[in-house]
Amino acid sequence: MSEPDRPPTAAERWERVDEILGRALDCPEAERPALLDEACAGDLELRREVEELLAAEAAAPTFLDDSAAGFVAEALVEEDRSPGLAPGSSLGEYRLIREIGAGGMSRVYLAERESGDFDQRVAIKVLRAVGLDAEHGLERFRFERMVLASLDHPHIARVLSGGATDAGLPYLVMEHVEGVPITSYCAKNRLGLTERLGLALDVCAAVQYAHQRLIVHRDLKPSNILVTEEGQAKLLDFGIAKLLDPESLGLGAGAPMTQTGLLLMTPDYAAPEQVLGAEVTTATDVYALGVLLYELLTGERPYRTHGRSAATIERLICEADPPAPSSSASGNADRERPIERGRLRGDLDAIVLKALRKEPEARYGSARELAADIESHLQGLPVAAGPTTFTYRARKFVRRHKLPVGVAVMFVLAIIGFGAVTAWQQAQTRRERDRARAAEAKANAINRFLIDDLLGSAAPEVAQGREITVRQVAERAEARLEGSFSGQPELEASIRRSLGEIHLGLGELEAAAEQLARAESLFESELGADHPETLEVRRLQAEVALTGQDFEGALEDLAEVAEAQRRTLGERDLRVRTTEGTIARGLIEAGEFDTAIDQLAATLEALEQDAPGAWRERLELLTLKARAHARRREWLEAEAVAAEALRHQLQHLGPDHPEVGKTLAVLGNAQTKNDRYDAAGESLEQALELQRRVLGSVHPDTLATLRLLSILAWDRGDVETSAIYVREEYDRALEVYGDADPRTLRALGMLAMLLDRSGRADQAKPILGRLVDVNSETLGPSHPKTIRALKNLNKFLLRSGETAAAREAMQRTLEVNWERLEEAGDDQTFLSDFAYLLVTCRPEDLRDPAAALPLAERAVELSGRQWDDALDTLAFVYRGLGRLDDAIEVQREALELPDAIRRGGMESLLVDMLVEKGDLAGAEAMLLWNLERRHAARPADDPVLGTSYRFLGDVRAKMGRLEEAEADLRRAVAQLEKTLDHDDPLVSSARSELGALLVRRQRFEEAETLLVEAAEALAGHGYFDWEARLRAQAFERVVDLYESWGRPAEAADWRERATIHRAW
Amino acid sequence: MPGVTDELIETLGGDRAAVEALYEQAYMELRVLARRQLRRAPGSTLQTTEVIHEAYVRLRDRIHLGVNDKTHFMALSARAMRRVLIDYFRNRKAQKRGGGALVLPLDEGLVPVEERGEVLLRLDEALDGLAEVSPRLVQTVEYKFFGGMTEEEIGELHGRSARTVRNDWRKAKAWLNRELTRG
Repeated sequence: MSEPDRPPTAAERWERVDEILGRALDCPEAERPALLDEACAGDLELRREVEELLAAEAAAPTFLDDSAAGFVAEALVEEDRSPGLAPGSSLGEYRLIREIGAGGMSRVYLAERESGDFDQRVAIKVLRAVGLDAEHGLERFRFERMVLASLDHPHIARVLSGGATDAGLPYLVMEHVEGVPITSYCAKNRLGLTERLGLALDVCAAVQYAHQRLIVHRDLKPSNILVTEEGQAKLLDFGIAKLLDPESLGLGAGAPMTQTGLLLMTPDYAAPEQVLGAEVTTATDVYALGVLLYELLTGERPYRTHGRSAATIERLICEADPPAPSSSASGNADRERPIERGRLRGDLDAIVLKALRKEPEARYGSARELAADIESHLQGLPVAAGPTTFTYRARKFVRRHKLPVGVAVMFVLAIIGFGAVTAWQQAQTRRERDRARAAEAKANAINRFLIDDLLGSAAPEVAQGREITVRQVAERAEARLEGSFSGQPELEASIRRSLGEIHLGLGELEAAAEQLARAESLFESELGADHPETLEVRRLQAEVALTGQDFEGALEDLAEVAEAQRRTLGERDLRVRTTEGTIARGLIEAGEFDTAIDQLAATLEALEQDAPGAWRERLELLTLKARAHARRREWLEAEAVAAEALRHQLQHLGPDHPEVGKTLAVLGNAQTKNDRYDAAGESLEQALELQRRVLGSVHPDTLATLRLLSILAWDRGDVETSAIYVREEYDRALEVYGDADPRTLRALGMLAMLLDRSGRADQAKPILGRLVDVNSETLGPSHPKTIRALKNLNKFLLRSGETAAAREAMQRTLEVNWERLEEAGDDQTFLSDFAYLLVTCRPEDLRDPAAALPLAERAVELSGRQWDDALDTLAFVYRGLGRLDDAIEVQREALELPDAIRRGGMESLLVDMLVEKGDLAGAEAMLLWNLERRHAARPADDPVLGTSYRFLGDVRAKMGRLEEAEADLRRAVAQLEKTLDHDDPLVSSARSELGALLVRRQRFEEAETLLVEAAEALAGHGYFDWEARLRAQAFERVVDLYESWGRPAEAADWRERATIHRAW
Repeated sequence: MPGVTDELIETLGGDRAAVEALYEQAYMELRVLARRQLRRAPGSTLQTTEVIHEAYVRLRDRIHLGVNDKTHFMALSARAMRRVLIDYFRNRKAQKRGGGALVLPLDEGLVPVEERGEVLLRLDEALDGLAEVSPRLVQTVEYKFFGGMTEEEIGELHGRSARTVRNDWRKAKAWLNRELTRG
């Protein structure tokens, strides 16, 4: 086989080994000797090597069949079990003060905010990674964290935020509670029975609140229930036990606690089902409440577990009947009983024992029922746990008179979230605007109405245990309004205006319009058409119209309102500014951003002059301005304006105002767009935290922030986190809006895309199909969203190889687009997208650049040549038509727009086209200009700058300007080395290119170092086509060097090496 | 607010996002890859982000150079994963490693955790040796062991049957085990 005149190279030799080894591996072991006899044909060395390899294969360690990352994962993790975090180190936005506790599963630190803006001390619990499985662990953790953050109850320590340490350990930031365990508190203060039961009731209320949100504590015990100096009970660590339970995270199935859990948990508080590894439910917490009550009443725990074996403890908890509280610890004389036996006998014994029943279903059905019995006892009424004859009656009685705690809280939250804030703001605004005492009195009357009547009217329904929506409250108020104010039409008008605003805030435009229309007619007949109140209502009506997308009508009305206000109130009145603000908002919604920005600038200036103290108006205008810039995609301006607005808000409204949340969201969005991801994350997390707390988890603003967070994560490339946020948005939207609402569908669409992207195509496909169907049904077959859903489906099908189905989807897409063209002929977005689709769609035979041309041209025209997407589309169309010059011109125009700086592809496309055309000078000028621009806007070490310099060096070398080209290439190398390794193929090939240039400049010695080093580095990289290409190029350059240098022997050497590499 | 975000979503969902966000796309694909690899390793989520991020940084610029199809991408990712893991352990073990034979128990669980990095470094060296005789086998190892791809996927990418890939894989294992256990 080998040539007779030289020994075979290692590679040639391997070729034979490879061939025989392959055959031997394929055949049964028994037949191998025969095969080897034949194949090796007496070549003993060959045979020995093959046999050696066969043996090695048989003994190959199993980890090779795992994955590299899996194999070393634990080694990577090992480092993370580092001791603790040092005081003074940072965690997110907090600085650690000291460690205040450590357990098997976590460490707790006291910390404070790093920025001194808010003086807030927090407790940070850093969880050990135990139980967090790689696939789902962190995802689950983030999700749970969000759920926990939604718990907002006076007796629950709040979870503020969370994250992962540098080492990747998840942590929770929690309200820091300064207190002592509830049992110590009672003992220390020698509390009496009533006070002890009062504390137990607080704990029950908190537990009930969490249970209504389907959160089970799982680890209730005195050390998790602290009491502050003021006597406030606070529950810690809600839901955290679940985070640490491997089973709940889908790891080891059904492992009983005795094996692991008991060692980690306080066994005295564990319920039988926990010990047995059975399902943990809300009844588990009820059991723990029973143990707590037991301990509060007796100073003892039901079972003595200290020093006993796990098996004994398990038997005690699962089988033994605990002594009744009144008869506990009879033999323990040296310990004083906190409450004398006689007071426990009867009701309290019965209550505690009922909570401690072995069978979960025999215990109290909820913490609320337990609490109800405690209360009954306190009031001397019969308890449910008592003699059965009384039970039924007592329960009925209790139910009839008690207000379910959790529901009431939820109701108040809803009111605060949707209605009260608006009402409060209005009242504030009104108070400022109308300084007259009459107005003051009116505002008070409204407040009374809202608080007394609305809250009062809802109570019966609350007692029925139903959740009250604000909508229902508003409807009820409206019903009540009829006739309540017959003698006070002005007051009725004011309330109707408020209700109109509430409806507007809820997006219920019809109801809003109705209330405002009635307010307007009342005001008008009472006060006259030009009265400020009437005009204000008209302004609000215009806002409703704007929200309903009726821009033209709204803007006309607003112009009239502003005119009337100027006439009656004077040019410098604040209310004129407010109306101007609404006009600007209308202009923004109508897409007239430039006019809007001009208008806003003028209004802000007027405000500055006439009413420098009118911060509220100023804020509104600033917020609008930030939005206008955002819509113009002027993100730097948007960020600056939003930051300014935020400063004002923090100063005037304090850190907890919903408006602060909104502005934080706008700011975070702009920061995302400006690639300031960390800052963006901080802003958005802060917004979310605030909105959850102040507005609730299902408020549209909260959902909008979730969406922005998902976009941020997406932009960062963190598809997993992105999916988590979208999933929550989807869940909430589903809950609030239902499954056919556009907001729900949008989240669903996004979710499908993320699932697809993260490799869960099977889950994405049905969603994509469903999106097409629902959109088609609810919005119509040619609605943009239906079209988009179809396009997504087409892409998905293409990717998964279902070509025929994909083709069908694309054909359908094109058809509906053509239909839609009739009605959407002036919609630039539609035109551009459709044209782009026509030149890029797949399968390719469906493309039609000629048909796309008029559409793309029209889109560019409509956008005033200011929209890079439209220009880019047109360039694509020209290219498709073979009109290179036109394509270049338009592409250049697109690149020059501010947005294009983020787009890497445009530059290289343009260079290609210019070089293709032979316009080197043009390419050079373009690159120089773009480089300057990128230097100003991109991070200093962005490798993109390096590639730009390489393009520039290439172009200049082609122009024969070698000296400059050399400088460019040197810069390119330096730039790339900022982020990439010295021997990275990319760096190497840039160095090789520089070497080649030096050869052209006859500087052989310098070139040699570069070229040889680069070639050697690339020699280790030729496994992939493109790397192999770079490597071949590098080798040829070395050959070139030695030939030009007059050193033929070395040239021949390298040529041979190049051949060997090419062979594969 | 809603207006702004609506627009964002449209942008994201639209055709151009894919063209435009090449970096992002790359990163995402890479993460999918890494997730797949770390799937069987409970408790190992921790460094994933860092590891992947670093791999991504290495990758992204090359992608701009025109690596635009899936084959290249998967290959690059696998390669990046190899480099990242190797660099990680190399940096951690700054001191010169001694040669000599490794005793490799058959069962993965029996390789002490603290020695795994060392084993991986040795494997990397062995791969360098293999590259001199058969780059194809090295590629198979990178795809499968570092890239976490299945034999079917590797075969698909190169128009080879899964069976052929499997055969290559066994050859590569033979080579690697021989080198690792060689004195």
